[in-house]
Amino acid sequence: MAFGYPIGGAAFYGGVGWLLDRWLETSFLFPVGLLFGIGLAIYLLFKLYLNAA
Amino acid sequence: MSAADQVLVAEGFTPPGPGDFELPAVFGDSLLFTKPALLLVLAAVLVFGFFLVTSRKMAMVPSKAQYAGEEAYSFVRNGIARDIIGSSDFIRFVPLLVALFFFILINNVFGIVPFIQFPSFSRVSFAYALAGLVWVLYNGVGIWKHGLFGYLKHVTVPGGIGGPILLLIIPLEFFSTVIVRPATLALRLFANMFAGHLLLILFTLGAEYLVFEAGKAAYTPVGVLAFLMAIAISFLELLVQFLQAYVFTLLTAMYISGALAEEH
Repeated sequence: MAFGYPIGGAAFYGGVGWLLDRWLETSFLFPVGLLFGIGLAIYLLFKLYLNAA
Repeated sequence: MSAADQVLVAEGFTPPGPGDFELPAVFGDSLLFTKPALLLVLAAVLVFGFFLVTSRKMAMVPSKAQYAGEEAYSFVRNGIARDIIGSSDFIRFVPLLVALFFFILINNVFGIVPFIQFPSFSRVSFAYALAGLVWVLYNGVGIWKHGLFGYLKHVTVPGGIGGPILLLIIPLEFFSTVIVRPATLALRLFANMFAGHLLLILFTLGAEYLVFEAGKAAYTPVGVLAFLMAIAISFLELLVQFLQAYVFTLLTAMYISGALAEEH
């Protein structure tokens, strides 16, 4: 179950970064989005599991 | 031997690859019906037949067949459905979970049954279809239970987190539950079956080549060793095949239970 969060985060925010890159004609927002998505997913997992415990 | 000979030997063996999973048509040349499709039908018939035969003459003192059928049924009913979904709602999902578990199990075990030796779910489209069925089911159950908007809120807003960070979390939750879940469910089953089958054909074809075709007596013991490895890996595969059927069914039950839950 927990496995899906980092993938979902990377897919969504990586996708947002990629689209922004195409729009703004930059190239750094895709990796930033990927890392941001994974980081957010890890934050969420910590929150959820600390709440559950 | 010279370096040139070694190159020749290395080139004589064609290592197995994804192409080995593209099997010819069973009837005529329509690729709509290939060996894995035939195996799916066979597995469905076997599962249906097994439960039909074992439940036909039910008695208070069960026959051996009835006992086997009941043990198989209760393994999924109690071990997966009741434990995960909970005693108030689980019973209506038991037929699906039992069918799912044994259908996947039989299809996986086909991978090491002599003369069949192909796990149907090593073709990814079948795994996608099965995960699609589960996706429709758990989302349908959630919408039936909470209503469309209630379910969307249930899926996207985790309990115990508030404030502006929710704006960032909602798309992440939506992505991971609605889009990533069916993909990982399908790919987990597919990749395990694919990798297992590839390992088995690598070791058996390698053994065959080293013993019969390499033409070097010194290679024969290595070939025999490779063949023994293939047998050992078959036993490992049996474990993986069971485990993947179990995990697929267990996750289906968890997704249903998550969709039914009142609060996170």
